[in-house]
Amino acid sequence: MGQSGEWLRGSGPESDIVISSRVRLARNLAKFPFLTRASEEQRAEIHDAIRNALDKRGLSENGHCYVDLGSESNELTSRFLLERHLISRELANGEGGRGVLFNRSEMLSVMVNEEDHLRLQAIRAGFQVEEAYEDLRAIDERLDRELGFAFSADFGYLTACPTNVGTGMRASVMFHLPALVFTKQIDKVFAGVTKINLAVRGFYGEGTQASGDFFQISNQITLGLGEVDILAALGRIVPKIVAYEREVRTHLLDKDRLRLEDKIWRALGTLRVARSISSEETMDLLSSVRLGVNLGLLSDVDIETVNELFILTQPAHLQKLEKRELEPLERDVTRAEYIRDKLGL
Amino acid sequence: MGNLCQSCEKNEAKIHFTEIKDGEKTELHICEACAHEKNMLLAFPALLGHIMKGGPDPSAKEADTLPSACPGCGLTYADFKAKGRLGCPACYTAFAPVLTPLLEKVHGSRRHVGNSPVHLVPTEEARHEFEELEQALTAAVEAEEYERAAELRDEIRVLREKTGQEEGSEATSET
Repeated sequence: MGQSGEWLRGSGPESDIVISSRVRLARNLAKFPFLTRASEEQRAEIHDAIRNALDKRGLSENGHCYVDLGSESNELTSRFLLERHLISRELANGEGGRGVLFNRSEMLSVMVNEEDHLRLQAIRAGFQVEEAYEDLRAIDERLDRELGFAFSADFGYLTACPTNVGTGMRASVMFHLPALVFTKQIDKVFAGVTKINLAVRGFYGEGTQASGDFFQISNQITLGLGEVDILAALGRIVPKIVAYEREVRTHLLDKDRLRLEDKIWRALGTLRVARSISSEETMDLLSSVRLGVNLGLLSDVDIETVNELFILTQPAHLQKLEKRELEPLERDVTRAEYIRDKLGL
Repeated sequence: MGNLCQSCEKNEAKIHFTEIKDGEKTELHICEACAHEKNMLLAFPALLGHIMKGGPDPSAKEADTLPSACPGCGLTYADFKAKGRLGCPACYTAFAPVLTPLLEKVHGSRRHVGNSPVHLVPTEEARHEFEELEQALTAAVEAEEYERAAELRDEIRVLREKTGQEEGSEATSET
C-alpha cells in the first residue's frame, strides 16, 4: 500500500526523463460477441472462461492477484487501481462482470472485459518498449491456446473499435519534460510527434490533461504495420525527445540558472511546509523537485521517493492509507501531512 | 451567447477549429480553458477522432452491398456509426465494403501484416503436409485424374480448417 509498482522505482534506461514504457494488446475471444453486443450472461461467461484460462495456465499463482471489479470491490478500489496505472478508466467506470489480474511487481496486468474481452499490459521502468512487448508474448500465446482469439488474415486481431484492429497493440512511453514546458518548447515536440502519426496524452492516458509535466506518446496506427515496426517507430523518436529535453536543461543551467533554482527550491519549500495542498499543486511542485533532483541541485531528496509521491498522493491512495473516505478538504490536509512526512527536513 | 464548448459543455466556445481534409470540412468549437487544459491546440486531429466516433456515411452504391444487420450479432451499420464500436468478429466481414475504406483512412492501410495468434499458425509438419498435397493436386490435374484431384482438394480443405489457415478473407470465428 505505501509502495508503488516496481516500474516507478526510478530505474531503467534514460530514467531521468523517461518514466516508463508500456505495451498493451487488445484481444477478443472468437467464440463470443464483443462486449457492446454481449448479454449479461455472455459477459459473465466470458469473464469465467478467462478466469479459468488464467488459473489453468498457472497465471493466477505466485503472488498474482485477481480483483473482481464486478462484485467485491467498490469505487474506491477501482480508483486506487486506476491511480496505479493497473487499470484503465473504461474498466474502472465499467459495469458487470469484469476484473483485473496483476503480478506482485505490478509490471504485468490483464484487464478482463474492458472495451475488449482482454487487455494485456506490461509496464517497465525507463525506456524499454521492446522489453515490455517481450514480457507480453508468453502470456498472449498461453491465453490464445486456451481461449482462441478472434483473428482474420486480412484485418488481424479483431477488436471492438476499428482503431485498434490489426496488431491490437498500443505502445506508449511516458516522459517527464519539465524543461521543455518551462521554456515553452513543448509545442514543437507535439507538432513533430503528431506529424508522424503518434499521439500525445496526459499522465492518465486518453482524454486526460497533462499534469506534472508528464506526457505519454503512443502509436496511433495498428493496422498495416507489424509489431516490430510499431515499436521501432516509437523507439526512434524517444532518444530525440530525450536529447531535446536534456539540451534545454543544460541551457537553463547555463543561462537561466537563478530562475530555475528559485522555482525548484520554492517547490520543495512549499511541499515541506504546506498544511493543505491540492492534487494538482502537488503534481506541479513535485515535477520541479524531480527536475531539481535529476539536475543534482537537490541532494537530500531521493528520486524514488519523489516518483512514488506522484502516485501515493492521489485521492484514492490517501483514502486507502487513512482507511476511510475523506472529504476533498480533508484529503488536502492529509496529503500535506503525508508529503511533509516523506520530504521533511 | 454563442455555441457551448463541445468539450466541457459549460463555457462559451471561443476557439474555433476548421480542418479541411480530403475535401471534407470538420469544425470544432471549444472554450479557452479546455483548449489550454487539454493541450487541444496540438492534439486537434486526435481529438477529432474522439468526437467523430463513428464511420463515414456509406455511398448509395456501398449501401446496396451492406447487409441490413451483421449476421453474427445483429448490429446495424447505423448502430456502429452511433457508437463507434463493432459487435462481433463477423462484423468485420459483414461491413467490409465500408469498413475497409474507413480503416484505410485511420491506419493508412487495409491489411494486417503483424503476428498471427499461435492457435492459427500451422506447425512445421502441417505446412509440409500442405505443400505435398498441393504438389500432388497439381500433378493430378495435369494428368487429368479429376477424381483424385477432387479427393486431394477435400484433404487440403480439411487440413486448412484444422490449422485455421484461411483461403479467403473471412473472419475466423472458430478456434
